[in-house]
Amino acid sequence: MSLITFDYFEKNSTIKILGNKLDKKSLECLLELLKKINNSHIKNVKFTGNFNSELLLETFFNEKKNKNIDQVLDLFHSICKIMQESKVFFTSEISGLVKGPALEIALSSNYIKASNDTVIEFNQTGLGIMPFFGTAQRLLRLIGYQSTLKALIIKKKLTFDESLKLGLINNEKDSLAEIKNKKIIWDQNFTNTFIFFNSKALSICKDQKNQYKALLSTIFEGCVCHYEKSLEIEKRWLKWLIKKEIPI
Amino acid sequence: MIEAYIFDAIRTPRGVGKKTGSLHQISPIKLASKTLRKVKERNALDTKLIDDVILGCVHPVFEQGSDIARVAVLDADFDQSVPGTQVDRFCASGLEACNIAAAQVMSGQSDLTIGGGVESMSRVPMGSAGGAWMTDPSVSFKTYFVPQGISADLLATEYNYSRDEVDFYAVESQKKADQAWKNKFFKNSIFSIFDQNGDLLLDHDELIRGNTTMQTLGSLIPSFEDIGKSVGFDDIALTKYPHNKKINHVHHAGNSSGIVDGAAAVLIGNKEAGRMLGLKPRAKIKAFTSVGTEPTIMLTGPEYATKKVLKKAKMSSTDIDLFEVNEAFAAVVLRYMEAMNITDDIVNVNGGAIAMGHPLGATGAMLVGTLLDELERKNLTTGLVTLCVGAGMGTATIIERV
Repeated sequence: MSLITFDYFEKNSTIKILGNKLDKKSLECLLELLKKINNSHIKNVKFTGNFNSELLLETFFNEKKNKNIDQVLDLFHSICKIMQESKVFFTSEISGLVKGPALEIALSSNYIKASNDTVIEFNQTGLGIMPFFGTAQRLLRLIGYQSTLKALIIKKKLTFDESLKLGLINNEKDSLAEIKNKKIIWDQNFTNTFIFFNSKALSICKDQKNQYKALLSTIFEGCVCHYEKSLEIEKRWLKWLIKKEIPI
Repeated sequence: MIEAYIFDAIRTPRGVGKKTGSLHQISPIKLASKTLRKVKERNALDTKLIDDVILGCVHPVFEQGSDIARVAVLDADFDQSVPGTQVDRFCASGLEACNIAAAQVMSGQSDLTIGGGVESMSRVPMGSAGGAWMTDPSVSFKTYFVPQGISADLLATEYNYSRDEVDFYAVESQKKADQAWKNKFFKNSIFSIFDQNGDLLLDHDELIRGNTTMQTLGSLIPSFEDIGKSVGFDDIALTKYPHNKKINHVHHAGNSSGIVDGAAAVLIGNKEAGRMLGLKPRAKIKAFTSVGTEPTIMLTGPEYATKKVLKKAKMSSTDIDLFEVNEAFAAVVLRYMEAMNITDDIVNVNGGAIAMGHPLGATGAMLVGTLLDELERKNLTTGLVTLCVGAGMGTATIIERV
């Protein structure tokens, strides 16, 4: 168990993820690295290494929690934003158990190349924290809101075959372009889906009512609006949840 | 306060709300405009004198969207000066429309109005309108949302109504409706629906099954047990009502209101408007109200709306000769009778929505006509219409023959 570092190998344009716990400093280093890459002439960057990770949320806050919460949330979202708006084509090469912030980095990439032992785990809900890098918004635009809800609320895991079938991995298309152009319409299917998952979540959530409420709400409210605004919605609900639930 | 009188009340027959139903091929706008046209013809109305048309519609989207009342006014060839507005109080929308129409008259802001409703459930299915109550997690979590069928089973559980009791009520509803039809008790209000070529599409409520027995209902599987257990709705209901060990699922297609298509209209005005048009007032609208109640059990509103409206009218339940309580589910009426301490000889005497169906936006207005016809037939004076309403509400109206 060690803090994550992002080691950049210029020779083959690779960022290697080492360690498994992400703290504020690690994330700030990643952001600086991404900015540097973004300002260079590099066209392709690959993330490799350990994608089985965990967020040390408490390291992101000092005693003045409410004063710097917006900065922290901006830091989370700036990772996906810079990757999205960059001319650089990001690829994540994942294998084994993939979870936590490294999973969110993978999901922010243009292309996810996965080996067949890959298992994607959405454990954030279980830990009392919902996705925080905009993952929920990206997922629902990549694999549909029904599959996203099923993965995040019920299954909590996607096997290699399931991820492949959903088009989440080893898919040649540029996922970020797809995400930005995706339009979701509120129809009867949408209504029925949320009736189902709201009930499922409320009946199973027990002492995690706020977490499920925030997670479902970020998906519900983000579904039908523009992607950029949906990230703001996600940030707003994460802020609400942190203020409610995280004892810092 | 100015008195609001009912001059006429009509309705379409109720067609089975499926693609096989006789009214499925008629769009909701035509159901509404044919009903308005019939009011005009039957009363030889100069439509310029109508101040407003208010129609209930629970799913005002797609074909039923964009203010169906105004579009129906135009399609019915009313004078273009007649406005129209659509209202939604879920299942009581039709009654709410009549109440608003009456309120306009009582306040002196209108002289002649039409309240009514329309719903083509075969063409614009339940749930089409979506809405935050059931879909937005922040709202559905807060309100412990469950579908109405689960609420009905919760109501039966809470007040100990057995499967036999709710089935027995449903069998009686079918028998009463069947008898009422055979004896032509509805003939004054119902008009037949013809297509544009004059060919008959429907002239009767096509859902009624007069031969329904306890045995036939006994074979039906509870409609909400599966979703109650698999989707988690039972757990949610029990979280709100923890003194119950489990939900007793007693409601099924045979003891719940039927899904149907239909429309209704009630012509309401002041005495002077009636005099000008040569219309004889049949009843006056004495009082009306709506209430909010606990939203998870949802269906207890009629009791509270009735108590409130009786108080408003300075009356007691013994002053009411006949009650029309919408048969959304059998347990709703059983609970109502128990709470109000009344018996079934004065409640839904010609059956109700279990037998004939519940075209959501129209039912309330239909019940006004049904009640008025029966008061006249039996030469009684006072009647009360009430409906349970989604999200935990109730609406009630008292009418008095003149």
